[in-house]
Parts: sequence; C-alpha cells; structure tokens
Amino acid sequence: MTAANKGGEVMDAPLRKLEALLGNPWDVANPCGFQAVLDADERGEMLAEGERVLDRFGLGGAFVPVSLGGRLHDLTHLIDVGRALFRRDPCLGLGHGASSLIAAVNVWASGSKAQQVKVADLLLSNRKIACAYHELDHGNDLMRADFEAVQRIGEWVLNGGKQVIANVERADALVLFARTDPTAGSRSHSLLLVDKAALPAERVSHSPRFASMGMRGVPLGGIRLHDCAVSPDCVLGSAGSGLETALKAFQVTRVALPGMFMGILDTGLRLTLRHASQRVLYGRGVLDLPLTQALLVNAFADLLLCDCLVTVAARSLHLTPGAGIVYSAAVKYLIPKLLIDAMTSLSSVLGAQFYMRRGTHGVFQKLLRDLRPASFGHASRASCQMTILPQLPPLARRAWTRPDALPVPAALFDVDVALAPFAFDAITLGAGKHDPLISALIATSSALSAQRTHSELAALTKGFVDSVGPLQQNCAGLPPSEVGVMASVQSHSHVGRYVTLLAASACLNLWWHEHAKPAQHGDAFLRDSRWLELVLQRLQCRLNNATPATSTKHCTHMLAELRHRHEHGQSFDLRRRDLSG
Amino acid sequence: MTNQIADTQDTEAALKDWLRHRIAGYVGRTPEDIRTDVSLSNYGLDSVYALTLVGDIEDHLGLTLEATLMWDHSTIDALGKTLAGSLPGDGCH
Repeated sequence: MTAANKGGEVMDAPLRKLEALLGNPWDVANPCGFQAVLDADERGEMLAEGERVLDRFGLGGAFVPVSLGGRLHDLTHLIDVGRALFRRDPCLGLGHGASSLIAAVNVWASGSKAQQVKVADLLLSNRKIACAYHELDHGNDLMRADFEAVQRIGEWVLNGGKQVIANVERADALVLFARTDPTAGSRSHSLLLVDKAALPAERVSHSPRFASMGMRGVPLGGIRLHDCAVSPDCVLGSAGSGLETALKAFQVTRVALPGMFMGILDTGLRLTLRHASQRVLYGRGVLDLPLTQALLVNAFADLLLCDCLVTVAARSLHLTPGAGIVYSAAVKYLIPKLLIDAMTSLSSVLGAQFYMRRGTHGVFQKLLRDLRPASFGHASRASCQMTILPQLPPLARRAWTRPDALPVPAALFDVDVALAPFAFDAITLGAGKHDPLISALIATSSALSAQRTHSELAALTKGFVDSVGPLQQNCAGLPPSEVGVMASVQSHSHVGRYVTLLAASACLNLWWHEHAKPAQHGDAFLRDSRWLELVLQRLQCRLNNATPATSTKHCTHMLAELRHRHEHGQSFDLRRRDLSG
Repeated sequence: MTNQIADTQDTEAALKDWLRHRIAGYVGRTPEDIRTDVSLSNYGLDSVYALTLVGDIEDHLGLTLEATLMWDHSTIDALGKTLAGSLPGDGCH
C-alpha cells in the first residue's frame, strides 16, 4: 500500500462498517433488508431499524467538518457514504442524512463559530436539522420568497410558511431562508438558524405531511410561523447575505446529492441482473437476449459516466473552486436525467415484474419513484440550466481557447491522491477565467493523438474537441436577453452541449490518469479503454442528437464486467465497493 | 494634488459613462435612459447575471474584483465610485 493509495484506503473502513451494520439486503429476515425497506414504504414510514442503525454508525458525523469534530474532509468520501445509503433505501439516505447535510452546509459556509459548534453538536448527537428554503408558490425562485424576517430592536420577527421540508417537525433546529428587505435586489434575503424549542409553541403551526409519489417514508412537512420573535444572533453571516450563502452552499449539495442518488441505479442494475439471470422466456434466458444485454450494458455505462462527472466535480470543488458555480450546476443538470432514463430503461427488462409492489423485485418500483426527486428536489434541472447559461458567454470569450490556460492540477483526475480538508470559505461565486475541464479535454485529446496507441479513442475525443470552436462562436456573442429567463430554446441547447463536453472531459481524463498508473496500482477494468469508448460514443450521440448503438465488442466486455461484479457483490460505480450479501 | 483629484473625478465619470453604455446595451435601451442613481435590478439585471457582469468589468479594467461587487453597489453611481477607488492611482502612493 503506497501513500498514493491512501485516498482510497481511508474510505474503506467506514464503508465496510456501514455495509456490515446494514447487513445482507436479500435476507428477508434482515430488519434493514429490501423486504423491510419495502414494507416500511408500503406503510409510508421511515425504516425505524434503519434509523437506529445509522445512529449507531454515527451518520451525523459524516456531515460535520473535521475541524468541528466530525468526519467531513473529502467531498468524494461524503458522497460515498450517502451513496451506500441510497443503495439500500433512498428514504433513509434523504430523510435520515442528506436533509441535515443540506441545512448544515449553510452553517459551514457562513455561520459564526458558535453557530457551527451548535450545529456540529446536534449532528454528532444524532439530532436533526431541517433546511427550510422552499415555498410551494415560488419553487426555485428564491428571491421571491414570501417568508419574512423583520428587524426590530433586539430581535427579528418571523412570519410566513415553508412547505415540503424534510424533517421540519422532528428537527431540533431549522435553517430558514427569509426576506429581510422589501426592496428588490440580491442583498434582500438572509438565512437564520433557529432553535425550534426557542419558538413559542402557540405561534408555530405544522401542516400535515405532503403526500408524495416517492420518498413516502420521509416526513415532508410544512411549518408556519406567526410573529415569532428570535434573537438577532440567529442570523447566519450578515443580514442580506442569504442569497450569497445559498449559492455557495448549493455548490456542495448540487454535486453531493446526485452523487448519492447514484446508489439507486446501482441497486436497480443489480435487481435487473438478478431477474434477467433467472428468468426464462421463449426458451431462452432473458440475460442471453442481445436486447437485454444492450440495455444492461448501457445503464452500466451511464452509471460510470455519472460517477466520472460527480467525482471530478467534487474534486474540483477542492482543487479549482473558481469553476464551482458552473460545474456543480452541470452535475445537477445532467446526472439526475441520466439516472432516471437508465432506471426507466431497466424497468423494461423487468417487464411486468417492475410494476409489482411485492415479491422478489418489488423494491424496484420504490427505487424508481424515490429517484424522481433527484431531478427537481433542492434545485431543478431548469434552475441549473439558468445558472450555467449566463456563464457561457464569458467562458467562451475568456476560458475555452486561451493560450495561457492554467495548468490543470493532476490531482483533479487522480482519485488516489488524498485531498486536503474541504475549505468552505474557499467557495466562490466568481465567474471563472479558466475552465479546467475544457482545457484538460483539449490537452489530453492532443496527447492521446500524439501517442498513436488508441486510434478509436483519439478519433472520439477529437470529435469533442472539434465541437468547442463552434460552441465558442455560438456562445461568445449571446446577448443578455438570450441568457436570462426568457432565453430561446436554441440558446438553452448550448447548455446541454457544454455539459456533454464537461462529462466527456471528466471520463477521458480519469481514464488517462488511471491508464498511466503502473499495473499493480490501477483497476484493470478502468485502465482498459473499452468502457471509455462506449461512454464517449454515448456522449457523442447526445451531442449530435443521434441514437447510440452498442457494438458487440463493447457489449461482451461490459457484460462480463457486470456479471463479475454481480457475482462478487461489488458496486457498479468507479470504486467497486464490497457490498453486503 | 489638485490634478490627482481631477484625475480621479475624470476616471469616475469615465467609468460611469462606460457602465451606462454597457448596461444600456445589455438591456436594450439607450444610454440616456439609464439612470445612475437607481438599482440596476430595476433594469432587469438579475443577481446571477450581475455575477458575470463583474467578470466583464474585470476584463475592461484589468482588475480582480469581488464576485458580489454589483450586489453591494447596485447603482451606477455607487459602482463607479468604488471602481474608481480600486484603480491604481498615479499619485504619491
């Protein structure tokens, strides 16, 4: 074990512990197995034993920075823990974990030391906090929030309601997003960290749980405050910094949440493989049918694609925070859609079985329903599109083909290099003058062509590089009317193209660095170029609005890998984690 | 010393003029239509777009600025004044 492997090794022990605590998911007697998970979903309840197990594991500590006594150090490790939960039960993942994370990042980004210590203590003692941004009337249009906080002498008076908030009733503290100035502008909102116990009970009302199609166990509630006075030291950061803090906190959660939701596709693939390997139709094993194989292989390819972009984006928040506002929106824009499309296509392999709520594969339909919020929850696809679009003209003019591009840190793509503890105060809203992923795409494609060892791959990557010029020309001159809320469909289409290029770069460069490692240090499957060829072909089709076709060569290779991992109980993402059962 | 103050005032005026023209172009109006004493959000410049505009100002002036500059100085008057103060002077210091 060399120092270079430390990044990966550090994560293994906590994940093994978590897997061991959750136990074999296929064991019907396991109170944290899929049967129990499904039963809880049928009742519309959280999996009680799951919550107890997670408390024993000390899940809250995963969301607290190391400097405050927790284990949050490396965003990719944070994602790994969440993903393990989402592989088992997304309701546990969201309702017992991620919802506190979503609230806490605001405090890590802008809170005072006292506020941070308070939240750390809560999470480390297995208590919950809830993130109260959302109002049904305004969706992601934060600046039109109605909930208000009015400053009086020695206090702030809170009025208004928040809806569809996970754990709002059972949380000990709330992070509330409030309007604090009636004038229109970007300094008219503030975040407040409020102790629920400090609110006068007669001035607080809770609404009944919002019945949802999925995440049925998660207590999604509403709260209304009527003239509640709170102390001025509830304000997070300074008054008026609400939007700034939100946009910073979102950079972490827009990467972390999709990374965690990926666990759903991992289990979906596993369930589908199990089903297909046992089922016989028309005298043949379903898994022997080319159509089935292609669907499975494509879903696997998309899972790897997602992991590449999530991993690189998470590392870039550490290493190149200047690109954070764009890359995080890119992850939340692309990954949920890929996951939902892949999961939907897998359901066609299960056929009628996918529609059943009971039985061996009954949990599949729950996972499919639980997956949907990935695309609209917390930050919608549209709002991410609107974050990226106005950044395209400056990126096009200043970053994509600049001759003096900053060297991209190699650690961005080398997952075995340990990262320094994540610095919440390094998160920036600045429009970058550099675009590391586009720079690295161009540089690596060039180096690959020069090597002359992978001609198919070199041709694929050149195709992406050749798209940069036209994209630049299209984006550099976009007028303000074409990058705001009233932008045309055509202008919006540039976002999709750009994000596809980011994804291509992430995949290519992760492979490039893995491939360069000595054989004993790398992962043989990842060092081989075939997974990358398939992924890049699929991305190329996205770019050209074409229908992807999976060649026999790729299908056979990827299917063998899928079966190997399935037989050995390994996750299907980049890190190949050992799973229970 | 008098020249230095005059220079700063010239710079501030020139900056404000540049900003008026720039913003007029962004929002599709004539520069004369753009008041320098009202919040630019009144002209439809949203908060996210304001972040990217700061980048344009950085390019124009060759400076590195706080990303939220236009959030904190939301009128052309305020923006011009703070930018003039950020420019390297050609005086004693």
